[in-house]
Amino acid sequence: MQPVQTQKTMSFAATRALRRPTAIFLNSSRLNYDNKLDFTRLASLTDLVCNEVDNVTSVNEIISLVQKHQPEIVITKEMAVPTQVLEAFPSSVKLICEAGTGYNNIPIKLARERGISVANIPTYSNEGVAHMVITFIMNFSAAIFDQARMLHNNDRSNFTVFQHPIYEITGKTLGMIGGSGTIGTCVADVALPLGMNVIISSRSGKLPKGHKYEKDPRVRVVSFDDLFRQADFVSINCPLNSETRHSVGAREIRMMKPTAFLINTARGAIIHESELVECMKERVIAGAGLDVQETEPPAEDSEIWNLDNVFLTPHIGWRRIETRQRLCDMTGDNIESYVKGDMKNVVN
Amino acid sequence: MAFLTSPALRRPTALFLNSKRLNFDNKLDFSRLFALTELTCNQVDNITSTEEIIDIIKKNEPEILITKEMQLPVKVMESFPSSIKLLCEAGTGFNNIPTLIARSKHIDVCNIPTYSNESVAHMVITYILNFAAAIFNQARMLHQQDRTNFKVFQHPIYEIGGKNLGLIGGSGTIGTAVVDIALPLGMNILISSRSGRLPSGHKYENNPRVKVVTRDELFKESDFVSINCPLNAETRHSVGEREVRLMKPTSFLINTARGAIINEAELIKCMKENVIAGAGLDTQEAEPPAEDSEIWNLENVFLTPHIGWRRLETRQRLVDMTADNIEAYIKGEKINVVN
Repeated sequence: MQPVQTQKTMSFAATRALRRPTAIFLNSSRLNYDNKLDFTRLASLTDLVCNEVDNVTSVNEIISLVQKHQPEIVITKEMAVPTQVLEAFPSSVKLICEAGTGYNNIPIKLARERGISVANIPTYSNEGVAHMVITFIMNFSAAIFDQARMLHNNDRSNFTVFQHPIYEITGKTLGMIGGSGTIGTCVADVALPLGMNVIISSRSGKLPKGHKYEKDPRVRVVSFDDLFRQADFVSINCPLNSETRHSVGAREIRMMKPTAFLINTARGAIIHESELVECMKERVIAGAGLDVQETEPPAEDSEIWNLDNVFLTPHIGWRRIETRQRLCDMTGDNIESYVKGDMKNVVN
Repeated sequence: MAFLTSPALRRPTALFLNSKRLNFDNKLDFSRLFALTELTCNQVDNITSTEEIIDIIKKNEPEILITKEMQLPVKVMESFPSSIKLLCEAGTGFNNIPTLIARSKHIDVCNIPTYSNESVAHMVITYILNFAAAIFNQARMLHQQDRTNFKVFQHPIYEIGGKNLGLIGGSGTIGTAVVDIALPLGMNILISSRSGRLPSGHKYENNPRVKVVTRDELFKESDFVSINCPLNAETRHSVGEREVRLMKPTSFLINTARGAIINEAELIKCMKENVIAGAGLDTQEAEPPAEDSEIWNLENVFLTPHIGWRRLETRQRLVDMTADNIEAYIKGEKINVVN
C-alpha cells in the first residue's frame, strides 16, 4: 500500500493547485467598457473583485476599497495611485499590476520600500498602434476626412467635381521619430509594401545592429531636422520622457512641407499642442492626425476640436477588442508568474 | 544622312473632347501631348449633346480623338470626318465607344489597360483600416459635436491581424496588389476563382495564407469582402441580397471595381436591415447616385467618388500613357489597340 500512498502524495505535491490570492481591479471599466472581455482566467487565478468604474479619483474611496477587500494584488488601468493612497495600503498588498505599459501613475519607489512589486505589460499592441498610423496615412492621401465632412454637410459636390488634392502613396516618404523601435518597425512592415520610403530619426545616427531593416535601402536614418524637411508624413513613434516632452512644436512643423501631414499615436505631450494649434490655424502643413492628445480628452473649449485640418481619435491604439483581451491575458500571465514565485515584468 | 536617320516625327492634330474630366484641378502636365500633337483641349467634363460633339470635331478635323469616359454614340461616329484615324480612351474601359463601327471606318481605338493598380488596391486597404477602427462612425459623431467616444468608446473596433479578407476575382493584378498589403497587415486571404485555383505562376500560388475557395464560402468566411473583378455580363448584379445574407453580421463589403457588379437596390435593403456591419463603395451603379437615392443616407454605408483613379499621380500616368499610345501610333507601331 505504501508505494500507492507515496504515489498519491507525490501526485498531490506535483499538481497542487496554485493558491488563489485575492485581487481587486480598481477600475475595470476603463479596460472592459463594453463588457466584452473574457476575465475567466483572471477570475480563476485570483479571488477577483472588479470595481466596475472607469476611474476612482477620490483618495478616500480608493483607500476604503482596498482596506475593505485586503487584496494581495491590486490591478489598475491608467489610474493615478497617489502616495497618500499607497501609504494607506494594508500589508496584504504585495503586487500592483498595471494593465498596460505606462506606470507613471504609480509611485514605484515607494511601492518597493513597502515591499510591493509593480508589474506592467511592456508590449501588447504593436500592430494596434502601427495600423492606426497607416490608417491616418491612407486617409490623408485620399482626403477621406474632408470627404466625410462634406457628406455630413450634405455637400455632394465631390461627386461631380472632386475638390481636394489626393495622392498615391507609392514613392512618398514616411518619417518616423523614434521609428527604430518595435512599433516603428511594425509601421515599416506595412509602409514598405505600400511603396513608401522610410526615414527614421535616431539619436545614434543608425539603426540598431540586427535591426530588421538595417540593410534595406528604402529605410534610412536621417537627422531629426532632415526628417521634418523631407517627410510627406511625419509619425511620432517614440516614448514620452523628459527629453521628448514638447519636442515637436512650431519650429519642427515649420520645417515640414506645406503638403505634409503630422501623425501622433505615441503620447500627446510629445507635441507642443498649443503651438500645433497655431500652426494648423495658419495651415502651415496640410493636416494632423492625433490618436493621443496632451489631455485625453482635450478640454471642452480647446480649439483643437474645431480645426478642419486636424482629426482626433480617442486613443484607438489600445482599444481594439483583441488588444484589450491581450491586456487581460497578459495581466493573467503576470499574476500566474507571481503566484508561482517566478515574477516577471517587474518595473521596480 | 542625318535627316534621313532621325527625321522629326510628324505632329498630327489631336482633339481631347473632355479634358476636364481628367484634368479637373488643372494640375496635370500635358506638355508631352502638346509636343507630340497639335493639341486642342475642350476643357469640359463631358458633352452630352450629339450635335455639339459633331460640331467640335468638324471644326477641328483632328487625326486623333482623345476621350475620357465620354459616350460616343453611333450617330456621332458615323459623322466623323475622314481625318480621324485614332481614338484614344484615356482610361481602361471602352464600352463608351462603338469599337466595331470604328473598325469599319478604319479607326484604331486604343486604351490604357493598366495604370492604377495600387491606387485602387490602396483604396480597398483604406476601407478595411477605417472599418476596423470605426473611423466613419467617429467622423460622424465629431461632426455632430458628439464627443462621447472620448469618454466611453461606443463602437466595436478590431485588430486586423488574423481577419479574413475575401477577394471576388482577386487573382488579378489589382487583387494581387491588395494582397501585397493585406498579408503584411496579418490578414488571411480568400480568393474566389472560377478555375478553383490560382493561375500557375501566380505570385501567391504557394502562400499558405492565400486560399482559393468557392464564391459562397468566400461570403460566409470573410470579415471583409472586396470586389475586384471586371464588369461583364456574368458579373453584373452578381452580388446581391443572397450573397450579402451569407456574410457574417460583423463583416464589411467593399467595392472599388464597377458599381453594377452589386445589385444596389438589394444592397440598400440589406444595409437598412443591418444584415452586415458596413459597406464602402468607391463605385456605384450610377456615378454619382441619383439625388434621391437612399444610399446617400445610410449610416453604415460610406461612399467615395471613384477615388481609385483620381489621385494626381494616377491621372498624370494616364496622360503619359496616352502620349505613349500616340507616339507609337505616329511611329507606325500599334499598342493597346482594342479593336
